[in-house]
Amino acid sequence: MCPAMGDVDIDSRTWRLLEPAGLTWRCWDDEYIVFHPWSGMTHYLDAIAGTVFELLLDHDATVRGLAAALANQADTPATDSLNVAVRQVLRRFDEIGLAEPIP
Amino acid sequence: MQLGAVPESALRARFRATGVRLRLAGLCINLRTDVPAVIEQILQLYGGYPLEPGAGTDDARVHLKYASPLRRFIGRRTLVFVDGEPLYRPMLLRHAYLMIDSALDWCVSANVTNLVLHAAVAERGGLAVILPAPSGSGKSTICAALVTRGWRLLSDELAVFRAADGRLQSFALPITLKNESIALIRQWAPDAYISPVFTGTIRGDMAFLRPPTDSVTRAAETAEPALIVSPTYQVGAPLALQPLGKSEAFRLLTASGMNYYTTQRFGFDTVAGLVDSCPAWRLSYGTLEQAVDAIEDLLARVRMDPTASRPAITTT
Repeated sequence: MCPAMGDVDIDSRTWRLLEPAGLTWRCWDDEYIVFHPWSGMTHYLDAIAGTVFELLLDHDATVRGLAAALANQADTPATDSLNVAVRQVLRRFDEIGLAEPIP
Repeated sequence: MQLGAVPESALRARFRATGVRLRLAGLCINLRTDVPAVIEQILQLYGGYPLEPGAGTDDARVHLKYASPLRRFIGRRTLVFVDGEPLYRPMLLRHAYLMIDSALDWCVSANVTNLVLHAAVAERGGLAVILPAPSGSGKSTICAALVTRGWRLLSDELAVFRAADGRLQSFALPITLKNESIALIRQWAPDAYISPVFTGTIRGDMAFLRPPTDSVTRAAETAEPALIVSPTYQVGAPLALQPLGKSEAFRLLTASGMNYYTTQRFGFDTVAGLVDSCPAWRLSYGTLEQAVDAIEDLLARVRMDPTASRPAITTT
């Protein structure tokens, strides 16, 4: 986990999932349930976190890129609040060892 | 040889001396006690269970005895030891059998290394219904109702999944009935053996239903998980059957996991596979007749169309 990343740090980096090949998950009823083999924890991802996870499974991305993709999927403009939500998701992913900024 | 086939006087002597070696849920458990009322209950409830030869290797040793030699005459409390260690604080003599029941549960669950969920399980025709629900929801009651109508008991408490293939293993011990469910099952199955009622326990009134012989003799047979039904008993309530979303079913099952978080990927894969392949329902019922009919109907639908993970009906 990166120590206390500020918004600028989070925004300026490209993010990737940590060893996605080892992850196991299901997507049911618009909710992702992910088993994280290194911690042994099961994580429940809401709609935004689930979509970020899905996008990162597909390719590495920045906050801006993820927010734009989310907005595109929901057919809404990419607002600041969406950026904030994506940052929160990535901070949490970083905390639980699910994703990391590419050095 | 079954416990019940041995002359009673010989058994009583063996209980007091070296203990009786019973095969329960694949384990050999040595049961020893000199409390006559407890021996009587064991004979009634476990009469159909297989005995192991007099010598050999025990997987666990349960010894129930008076808390002190004097307590045999005053105080009347008993202690239970598992593998030489006391399991609980001394309990009243009239509740002594409850300590044996808990100790046996403890021995079996402590020796299980596979995934264990807190749920009742009953099987018919090779297919099993899993009944996950919090304590007091009526899962033991409905399980008792099913097994006294021809279903095979796998367990009224623990769904044990075999690591090799995710099939359910039998853990068929006497079914614990509590409070109003005792009278309900007495009325539902008047010919079934139910122990005397233990009143004033920490969980209210308790009694134990002897499993059908078939459930005991077929204890080595596994069953295929086919249906998930989360039951809730409400006095006089109409039958209500609602589909459980897969995500909801997953949460319900893992929340009731006795060791889900230590079984790691096998635990996740097993529960996720279960949710993928089994239709899941929430059942609220007011009478046993309704509940048993509904579960039999749901299982019949699964049997007719094993590929359908979600039956077409939503409410009855």
